[in-house]
Amino acid sequence: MSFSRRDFLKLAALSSAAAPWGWMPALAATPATDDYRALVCIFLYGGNDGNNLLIPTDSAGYAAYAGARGSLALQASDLATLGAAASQGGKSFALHSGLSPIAPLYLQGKLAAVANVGTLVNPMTAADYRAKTKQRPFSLFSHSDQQHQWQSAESAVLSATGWGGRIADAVLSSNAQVTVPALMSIAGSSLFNNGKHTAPLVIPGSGTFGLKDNGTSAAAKARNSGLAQLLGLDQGNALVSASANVITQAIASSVLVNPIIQGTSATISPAFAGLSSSIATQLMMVAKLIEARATTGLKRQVFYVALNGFDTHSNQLNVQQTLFGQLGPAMLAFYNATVALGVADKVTSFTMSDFSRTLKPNSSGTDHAWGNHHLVLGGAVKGGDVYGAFPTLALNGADDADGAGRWVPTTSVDQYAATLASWLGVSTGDLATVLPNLSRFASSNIGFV
Amino acid sequence: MALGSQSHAAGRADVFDAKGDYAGASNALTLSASISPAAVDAGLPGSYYVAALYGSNLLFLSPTGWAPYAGAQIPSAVSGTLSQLSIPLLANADISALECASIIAGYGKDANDMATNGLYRTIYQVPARIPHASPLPCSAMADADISRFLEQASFGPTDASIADVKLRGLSGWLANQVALPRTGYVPPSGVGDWTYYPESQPASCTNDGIPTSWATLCLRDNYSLYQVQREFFQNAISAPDQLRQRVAFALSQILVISGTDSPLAKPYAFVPYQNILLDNAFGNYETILNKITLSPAMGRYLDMANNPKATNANQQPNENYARELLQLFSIGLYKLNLDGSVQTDAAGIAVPSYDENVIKGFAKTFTGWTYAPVPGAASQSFNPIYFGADMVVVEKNHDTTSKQLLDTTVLPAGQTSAADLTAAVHTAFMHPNVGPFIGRQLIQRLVTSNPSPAYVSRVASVFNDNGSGARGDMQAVIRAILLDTEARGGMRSESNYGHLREPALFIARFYRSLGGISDGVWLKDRSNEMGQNLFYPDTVFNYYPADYALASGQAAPEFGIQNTATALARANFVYSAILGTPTGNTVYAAQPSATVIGATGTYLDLTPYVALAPDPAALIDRLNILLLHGSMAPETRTQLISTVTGASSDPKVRAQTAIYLVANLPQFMVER
Repeated sequence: MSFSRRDFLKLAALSSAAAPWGWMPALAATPATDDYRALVCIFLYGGNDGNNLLIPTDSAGYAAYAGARGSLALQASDLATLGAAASQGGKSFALHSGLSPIAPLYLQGKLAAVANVGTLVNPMTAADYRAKTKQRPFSLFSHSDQQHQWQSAESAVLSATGWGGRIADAVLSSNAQVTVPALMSIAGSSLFNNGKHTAPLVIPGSGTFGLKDNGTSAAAKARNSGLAQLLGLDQGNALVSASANVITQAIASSVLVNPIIQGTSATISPAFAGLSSSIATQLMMVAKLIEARATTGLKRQVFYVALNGFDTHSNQLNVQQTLFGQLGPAMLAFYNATVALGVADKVTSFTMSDFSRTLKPNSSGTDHAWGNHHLVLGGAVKGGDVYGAFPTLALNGADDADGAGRWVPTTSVDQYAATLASWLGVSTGDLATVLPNLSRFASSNIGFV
Repeated sequence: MALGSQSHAAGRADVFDAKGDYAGASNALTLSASISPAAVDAGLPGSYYVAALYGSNLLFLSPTGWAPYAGAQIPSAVSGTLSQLSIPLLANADISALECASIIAGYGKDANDMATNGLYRTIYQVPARIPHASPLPCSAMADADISRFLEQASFGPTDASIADVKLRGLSGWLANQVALPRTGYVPPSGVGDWTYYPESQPASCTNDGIPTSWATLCLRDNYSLYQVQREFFQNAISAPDQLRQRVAFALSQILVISGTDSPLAKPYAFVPYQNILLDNAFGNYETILNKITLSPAMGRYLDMANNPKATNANQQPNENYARELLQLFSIGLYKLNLDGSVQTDAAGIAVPSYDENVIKGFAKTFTGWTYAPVPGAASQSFNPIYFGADMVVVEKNHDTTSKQLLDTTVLPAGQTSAADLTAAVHTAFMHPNVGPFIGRQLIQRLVTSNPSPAYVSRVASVFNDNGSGARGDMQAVIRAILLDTEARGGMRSESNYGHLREPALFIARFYRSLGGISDGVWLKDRSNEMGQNLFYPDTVFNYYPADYALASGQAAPEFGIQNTATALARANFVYSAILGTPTGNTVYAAQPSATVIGATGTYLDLTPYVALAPDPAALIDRLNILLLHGSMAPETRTQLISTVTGASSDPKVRAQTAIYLVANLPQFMVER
């Protein structure tokens, strides 16, 4: 038999002769129960244009791209080179220049791209789509509905839960005895965060997180205990009850969480030096919460952060440059923070978005489309590759739904989510609950992490 | 007969009117009853009846005068051929001692017809003396419903507005509100005019923080929505045209533009758009759609401005406005039944309202518009941003091919931009979805997240035909929403009834009903902390998703921004408003800003509540009326009295404790 490290540490903690273990500084510096993994969802609201996120740089591929993209084609010389992707026959790719800070992580094997992922009810091709022979996801090209489907991994009916929340449900047993929710959002409410049994802890991006009425006077104490009593009364109305539940959870969690988010971490701060964007601030907050994992007691977590403004119907080149100029440095800083915390291989961040955008531009932007390219970053990621099937960049080509360059996805949200969920520790048996439609697709693991 | 009951089947009772025309207060009252029978009854023989109810005393008016009801035949006041009739009742009479007495008027073929078909209304109620301690003044049910009505139709009841509704009746109050002119957004102190400001602010336009003149706060006041946000709260708390303000706010969350698109974050860009909503809140919905379509603010936000036809095969018209006009502003994604339910095909799949070809057709329709030229500049094919006038046509940029619109509608080739636009908006407006789609959302903003299909159906029917053959009459729609039997009634006990007060409503309701004063400066920032940065929603999909649901699956849109962070922000707002350091009995949450002309700060005078505090039960009962329309559960009342009594013997601390706890009750978060 072999001891796991956890067993080993248990023994160490029980031993009265613990001092000699000081020769293992790495273990001594980490919490005694550092069995930990976290997923970090970075949602790009508005529908990020994946066609200008990940660009083929082999001569034929770039020529096809530039020809169809017209005025929105990025210059080859402006791109952040990634290099060859084994899964794409060795063809080479590049990132938008705004993401150049993380491009080196691709070469280091920490960053992967997943091509043409999207909402699907069943596997379908562009030919199937045009022939109307297979059920389409409901309300394609609608922001609200495609966000809903990306977040719920359910494209046939409306879902009351998201797959982030369902993952948190599935790993509840890993987080036993912990009162703080495993799912934490720094970007407000979202369907992604709602499980059947898990309500997320939403933390403000700045400021304190707790009741101001926290004094020690008799009146303040009376108010606090009175409020706690009152929140439990007269719950006959479902909206009243939901409202009471939210504030009750908030008050209960804030006592533990507020000191964490108010604190400054000497380990994390250097990684974020000079960054002030919202997405950087959010990711720094996530890093602090990960650093405090021994305090929260959580062993499996899902975090949710977001960046708005990707609905680039007009002025796309400038807007996307600005947003990627925030996203790239923030993702790099977050990765570096996880390295500094010694948890790089325990934290995987990934992007999601409403949809991609038409390859065919309008006068200065692009319109709503479908299958999209996404990024996955972390020490456990099998990076340096582009997973999935990169679409044929041709209007009315093999992957185009309708002539505007709307790619019919070749990898489903379910598969993307299942790969991440499995890495976090969702068992094969629980996967069917977390992602109820997964069995409709050939592979339940894309292999990028 | 039960004259106190308002429950009756729909029918003539919904279309007749009875109201009190009055002058003077209850100590010098001149009153007549004005009765308008339903159209189907006009010209038929019948009678008019007038009753007075005071405590358990019931009197009827007959040609010989007032007489107690003896339990036999109800005497009529007037008989003859039914038509609109006014019956004088009182002339300069003092009836103020008859506190809470009601005057009721009705008509029918006979008394039985009136009673069984609900053809009567309370046309006047003598006001209770205010403030009033326990027990609840007048009929608890009647007061509760007036308070509830004012939660739905305004930013919250006040003693004055409750009295106003009692005097005018619900219908009369609505008519009066509709007639009130718009309280708009105005540059402070009349300095400056919110006219043209260029996209790049002039070097001279900075902030020096000294509010001696308009220009000295140029940057903040002309290149952000600071003043607009501030004035919203000021108006919500104190403007007389409450219904207009409330309905316009609801419309602003359906027909969304946002200051997150930085060119719109200027009062000169944003205020004219809000004025469209305020001015047309009781107008016609097609008019609203036409006005917002040509609004430069919307043109900028959803890219209809400077959207040319495709000039080559590798380009297409911008689809943004086309898509959201259909999805959000008019018909929605799926074909709807009159009651708002989604139509499904044989396989049970929802039937889409349109497909991508329709989007492309509408997108082509909306090509060929640009901003009006900046004053003094020549108009070009693509004018720079200018919000001072509606967008203008550039025919050479218009796609003149034929366009597939909804269902079988196809616009022929060769039409002008304006003709295409008018036709396209009309096509959307005439679609049968609009009534249930827009009606249901207005119900959700004003009354309840989960209206019954029958309620939606009744409102949609009025949208389709206001009774005079007109479609889209918003005044009729708003009346139908607020006077519906599902909106009215003293209490509602269904477990899914009501809606979470969104932050702006929660904040305005709190200060308005408790008698606070605010210039809005502090409040706009609190609203932002609670998840609603006013006029800066993240996207055209509003501050919260229209389809957001609780885990149980029931609709609860406002919960899309209610979470652990924003819930604490609500509690802490109440804390700062109540438990900040008082000067005497006045709690200033924020002192007047030195940089705002005419600033009042934000404050609340606790004196009326401190005065009640020696008797905690009286204090709690008063707050129950003001904040919970008398709906507080007995166990909640008991707990509150116990906590307040135990917290302190100091009346001010008791008052603070009581308000803090009542305003933090989950029952106060939900409007029902």
